[in-house]
Amino acid sequence: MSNIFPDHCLRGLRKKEHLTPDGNAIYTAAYLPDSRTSENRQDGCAETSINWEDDASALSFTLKQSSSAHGVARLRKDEIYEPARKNPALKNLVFYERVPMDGNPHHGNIVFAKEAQQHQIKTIANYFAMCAELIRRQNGQ
Amino acid sequence: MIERSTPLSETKPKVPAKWVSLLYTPPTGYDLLRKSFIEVREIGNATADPRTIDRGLLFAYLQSQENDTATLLRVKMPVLINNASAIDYSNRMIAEQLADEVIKYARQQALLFPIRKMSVVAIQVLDHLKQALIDKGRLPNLPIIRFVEAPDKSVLLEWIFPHWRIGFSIEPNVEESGWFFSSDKSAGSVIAGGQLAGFDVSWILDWVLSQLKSPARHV
Repeated sequence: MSNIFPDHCLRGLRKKEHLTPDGNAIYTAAYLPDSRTSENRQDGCAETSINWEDDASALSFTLKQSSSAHGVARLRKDEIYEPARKNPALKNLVFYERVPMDGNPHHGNIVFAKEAQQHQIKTIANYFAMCAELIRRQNGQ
Repeated sequence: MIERSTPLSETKPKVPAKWVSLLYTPPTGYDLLRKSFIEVREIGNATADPRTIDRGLLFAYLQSQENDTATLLRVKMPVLINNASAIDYSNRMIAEQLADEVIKYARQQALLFPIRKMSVVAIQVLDHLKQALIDKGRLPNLPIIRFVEAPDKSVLLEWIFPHWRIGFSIEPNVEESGWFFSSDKSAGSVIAGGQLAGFDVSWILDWVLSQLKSPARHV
């Protein structure tokens, strides 16, 4: 699998609490990093797990994952650095990476810096949630 | 004792109203608004229990009377008329009802949230929001603010509009609590946030609500 980054990344929506009750908008919580992941990283950063949309199969692959029980949030890669561009206080607090896993060549992370304060993490996650396109699971997926 | 110069059934609501209400405000003005209902009667065959207050129906009735001061002005209550016009009074009522609709579900969940120090902050934020909304006057068709328990143990109050959204995070360490705002290109392309500690919640709410003045920004 290529190591380049495609234009979009996919975030599985594991919980119904990741969506508004009408199912039309994504909550900030959907993009919050898992703080436990910082224990396994030398840089102490925290990860929000994603799949890179390398090709058409990546979306169907992601939708079939258990972590996508309530659909998938599709985010433009360029948006990941947009908070830093628009707000200097958010500079150098987030980046992305590709970390293939066994059985999942698309896997990667949006990574939040160790230095990021809680309100900064929420501000960035809120922006991602606003920008992301919601893709629902179809029957049988 | 309240008297009325014109039978209530003679008022002409623009939409059918099953209930009508007399309102009485004490000389101190609006402060005791919630205690000011004195009578609710049903037009029709049945007689309602005068102690019964149905705010939803009252609200519908006041909406139907939007440009008609009849009910209130026909109350022979000089103090009432001297201290507040009937129109102001009903507008205030409607604004309060609309604001309550925006925050009440989140407030209920905040009240039930088991960690009291977080619950208290969430309620404070929601009450500030409600007051700011009331002060802005009647803003109909606003989305409901949502109470979300995040996986990182924080509580998020999220208010989502089609082109912008604002939220408040209440952290387990409440000193780390914050606010955050994002808008898309059509609404200025802003990304902002900060800590709640030492921050004037009313200011940020005022700023956000000023965005509502542009209809394109909340439809």
